[in-house]
Amino acid sequence: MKIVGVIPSRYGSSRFPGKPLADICGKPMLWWVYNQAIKVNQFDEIYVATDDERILSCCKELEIPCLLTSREHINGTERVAEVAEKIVADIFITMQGDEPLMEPFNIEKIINLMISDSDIQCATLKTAYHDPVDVINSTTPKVVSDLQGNVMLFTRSPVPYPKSSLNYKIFKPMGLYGFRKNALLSYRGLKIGPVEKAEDIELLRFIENGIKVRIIETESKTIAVDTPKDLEKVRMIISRGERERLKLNFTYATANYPILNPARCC
Amino acid sequence: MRIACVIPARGGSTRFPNKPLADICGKPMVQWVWEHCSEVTLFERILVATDSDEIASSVKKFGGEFILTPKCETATERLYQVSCSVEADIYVMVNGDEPMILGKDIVKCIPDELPSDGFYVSNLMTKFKDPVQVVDPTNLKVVTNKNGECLFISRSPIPFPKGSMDFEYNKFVGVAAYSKKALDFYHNTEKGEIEIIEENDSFRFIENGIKCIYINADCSSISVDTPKDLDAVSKVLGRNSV
Repeated sequence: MKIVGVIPSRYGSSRFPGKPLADICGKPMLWWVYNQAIKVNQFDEIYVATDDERILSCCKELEIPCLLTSREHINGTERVAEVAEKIVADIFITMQGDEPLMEPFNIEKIINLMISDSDIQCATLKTAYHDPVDVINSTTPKVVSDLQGNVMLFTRSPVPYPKSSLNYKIFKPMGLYGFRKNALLSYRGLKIGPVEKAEDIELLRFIENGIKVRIIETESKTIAVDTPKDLEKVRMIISRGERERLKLNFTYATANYPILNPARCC
Repeated sequence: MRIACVIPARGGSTRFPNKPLADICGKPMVQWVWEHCSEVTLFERILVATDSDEIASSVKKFGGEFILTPKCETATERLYQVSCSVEADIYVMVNGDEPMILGKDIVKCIPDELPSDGFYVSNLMTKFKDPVQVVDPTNLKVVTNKNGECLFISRSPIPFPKGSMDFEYNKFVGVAAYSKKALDFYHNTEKGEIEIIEENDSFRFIENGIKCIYINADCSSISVDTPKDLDAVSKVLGRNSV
């Protein structure tokens, strides 16, 4: 079984131009994402998929495999679907280019879930919200799932509405998706429904077309970098981590502890 | 196909005691519902299912048929109780708090024939016309997939209009149709997590991955949950009967 990781990466939103190349401790954000991905042993190959020459040439410089894709895609899944037409694999895993703290164990969770049940066409993860502001904030989506672990709905409204019980967690869908090859290849041919249009959430394409999306709960401390303020937070966390590692490296110089994992070329 | 119509009407609503007997332009609410159900010729029987003697005697007075059921936690459970003694292929439920739904709309939840597996669940919905109603948490918002199968029902306004404003919100209407198999499933299945917090009977099916078809009846509906709803309904029904 061949498993390919893809990091779809646009040059930037209007809110944050050049986002994937933003500097974090001397490396572009994209490199940090890639660096997390290569810690996952199950990946046969990992690619950045972009529509931008600047990202392409940056990847070349850092020896990160990169594919140039169409400018026409309206979301990351459409971009990854184009990758699935060019690269042969059984399972594709999408990682977000703006989540440099994405935990490798969560990527492995999705891969293992998809390997364990060949009926799963698409899978993703959820974490419980802890901050009430995030629940009300429409930029952070919510997800509800049924008793078999299939997604019922992704929405930016706070759901479920606690009418008769407060004994429930509100869940956040994570930006990690697993796709079986055929599901991904079908994606661009599926009709965009009114709910996806309203919510602007890409996996609703499957949901509205009656294709199940499996979801499991996990823990995560990842931060999606949407604003320069988020970037500052991530920089602080990563630089703190790097200082710790340097300290270790100094104390145990002979242990050859890697300061930074070298990028692996697939 | 044998079709029975059941109007569940419980006496003890905590927020609104004896709600089905609330007066609307000189008639109890349950009579309005019963009269609209009587417009449907497909029904073999129309039964008000209640746990209240007071409601039962009111039904008797206006010439309707009633059936006494034990105290039930939900309207669908009351329907199940009826299905144990009244035989039919399809049970149509018209909630006792929906006095505005007409017979021509009620029939829209009835299938042409039962699916081969004998399992059928449908429910009516309509488009919201008043934005205030969308925000009101007593009105349930329905989201379906392209086949009309319910994805989610919430008291929160769903979906959230981020990418497009081109969306008409669907309002839950308290009219549903079940086959006997579906009612048995309902009775024998535990409440799920979401059903417990949102409190809607359809979740018993959709949380278990079972199709629940929501049909747009394109009708006007105000379900009476509070005295403020009763005022609104009295105005409309009063105007119509003048």
